[in-house]
Amino acid sequence: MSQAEKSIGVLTKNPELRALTRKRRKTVFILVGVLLSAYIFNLLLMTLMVDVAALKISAGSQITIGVAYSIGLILLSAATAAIYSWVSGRYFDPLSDEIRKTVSPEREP
Amino acid sequence: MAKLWLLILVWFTFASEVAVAQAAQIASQNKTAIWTFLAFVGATLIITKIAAGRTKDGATFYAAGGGIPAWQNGLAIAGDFMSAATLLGITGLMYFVGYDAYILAFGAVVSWPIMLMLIAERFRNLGRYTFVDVITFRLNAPSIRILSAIASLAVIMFYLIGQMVGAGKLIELLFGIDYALSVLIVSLLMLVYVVFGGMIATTWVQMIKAVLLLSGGIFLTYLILARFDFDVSTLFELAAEAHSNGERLAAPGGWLNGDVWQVLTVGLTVCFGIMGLPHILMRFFTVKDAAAARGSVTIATLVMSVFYILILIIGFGAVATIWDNPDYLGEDGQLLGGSNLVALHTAKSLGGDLLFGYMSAVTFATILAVVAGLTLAGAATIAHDLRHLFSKTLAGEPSNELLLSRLAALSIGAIAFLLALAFEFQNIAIVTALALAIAASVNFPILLLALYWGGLTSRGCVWGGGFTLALAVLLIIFSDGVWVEILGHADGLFPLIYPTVVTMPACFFLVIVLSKLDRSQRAIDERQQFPDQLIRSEVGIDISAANHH
Repeated sequence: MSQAEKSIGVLTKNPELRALTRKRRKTVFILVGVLLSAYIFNLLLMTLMVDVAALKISAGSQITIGVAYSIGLILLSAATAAIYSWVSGRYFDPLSDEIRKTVSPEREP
Repeated sequence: MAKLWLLILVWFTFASEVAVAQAAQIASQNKTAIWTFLAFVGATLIITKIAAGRTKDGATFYAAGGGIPAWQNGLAIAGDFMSAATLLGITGLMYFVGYDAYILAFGAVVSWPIMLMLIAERFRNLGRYTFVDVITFRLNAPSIRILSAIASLAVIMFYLIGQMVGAGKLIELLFGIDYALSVLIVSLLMLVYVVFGGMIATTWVQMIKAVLLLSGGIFLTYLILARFDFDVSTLFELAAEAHSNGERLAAPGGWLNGDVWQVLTVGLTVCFGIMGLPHILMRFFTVKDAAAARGSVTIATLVMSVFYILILIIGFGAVATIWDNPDYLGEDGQLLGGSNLVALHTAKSLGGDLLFGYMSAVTFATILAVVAGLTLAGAATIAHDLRHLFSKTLAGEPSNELLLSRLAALSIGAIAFLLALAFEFQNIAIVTALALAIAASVNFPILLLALYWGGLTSRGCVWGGGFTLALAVLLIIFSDGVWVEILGHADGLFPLIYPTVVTMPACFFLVIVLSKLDRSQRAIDERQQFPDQLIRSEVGIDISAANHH
């Protein structure tokens, strides 16, 4: 059995790994869920709510709700990427490092 | 190696003969474009020369030794993805149909954070060079490697042909060079980048191109906004007044007619097709670890978000600026050069010959960067993923692997060149649609299941994926684009533009059902290996060992 296989054997029952997996999945589930829902809503806006999408965002403006929503979706995408990256760097990476240290101390900085 | 240089020399000699004959004509066409382009080629060739000295083995050839910093890789990913279709295709379509074309933009941007959260980090932790590495981490049947490689190559080749034909047509229009010579020049340059510089040179070409494209886009947007006193509402108002669609220009319905199935299938293809593009996925292996892969995608997402917002301004700005402008209409009243030249006509209208020349050269650079990435991914698929098909003598030694990769790149270049000549008069949108549809219908479902579902087996993957691959090709043939426009029938047998709304769920369903029905010993072994894979993908444990599985 290689060192890696031994490490993985140890980690299988590691409660910290389970907690990390759970937290990461919850974060991903929420962020992907929000983004995909917003995307599907934009597709529905283009099909089932065409008249709503064609409305102007305010009196005197020529920008439609459809255009404004799509730009908002792009900004939401950028924000989602940035949020996930920040949360991962702030919370998940240190947890991952701790877990790795428990099985391969030579990897410590 | 000497033979390889000889081969390149023969190609160059042939190209230069024809090139000299057209040089005078080109020089009179557009000096700014030529000088900008020559500067780009000169700089990238110098980089290729430096990169060639560092490309010593498969790891540096395919993945730059995993040594690309995250910010550089992020820029390169953006450069790899933002093809000529993005700048020219979306603005061109938006010019004619209005808001509906924007689905190709926001669908693409949404794809990136999802890829970041679901795929990027795990992908980096499990693979070595390619998409197939990750699929075959615990799926051991030789057939799964072959199926994944076929799906991967199909996407790469269809995408490459689309880019090459588009490049040939565009360069013919912009620089007045013959179609065949245009394609030859693109083939030669991409081969030089890939064969000698591998991933390092390709990365730099993509980075430089991303910066050029973004700066050109920002400047063009600035000129458009300045023309309308930085009032976006006025811009939209004047665009609506000019366009034949009137106020409906900024409303849905101009292209997909509000048809829920058409919108859904286009939306699914764009969003999930990107997550199955092998040349994009391959870039995750060029950084040192999962955190760097995550940083790369985040930067790429931010860059592309900015760019796709600019595209909206450029698209509507084009309508407000050049719609019905006789300077850009031919004798038949149609737009000169067709929809692909909308962005460039706008550049000329607002920035004169200088900006037109710059944007033309950037377009050329854009095509080169994308085809280089595709060729490299194709070479990796042949020489790395299918290496077991070659003789042990050829594939066994590290130096032979590098030679094999370079030969594979040369073969792909030659095949792409010949196919681009053969497809000159075909509808390229169909070829590109096929690439994205296969990526969304086969590559993405298999990749997602391989990463997250422990019940996946080789048999389920091969039969489910294989059937869906055939179904996607068949439905594309039955669609109006092929059945009516190419084969000349009265009505298409499949009503949608892309088959993804049918084939993507079909792939998930078939692969899951067939895997559940698989009771073989191999299936039991593969299921047992999932917890191991999950831990490695989760925390990147023993990443080097994982990379050499």
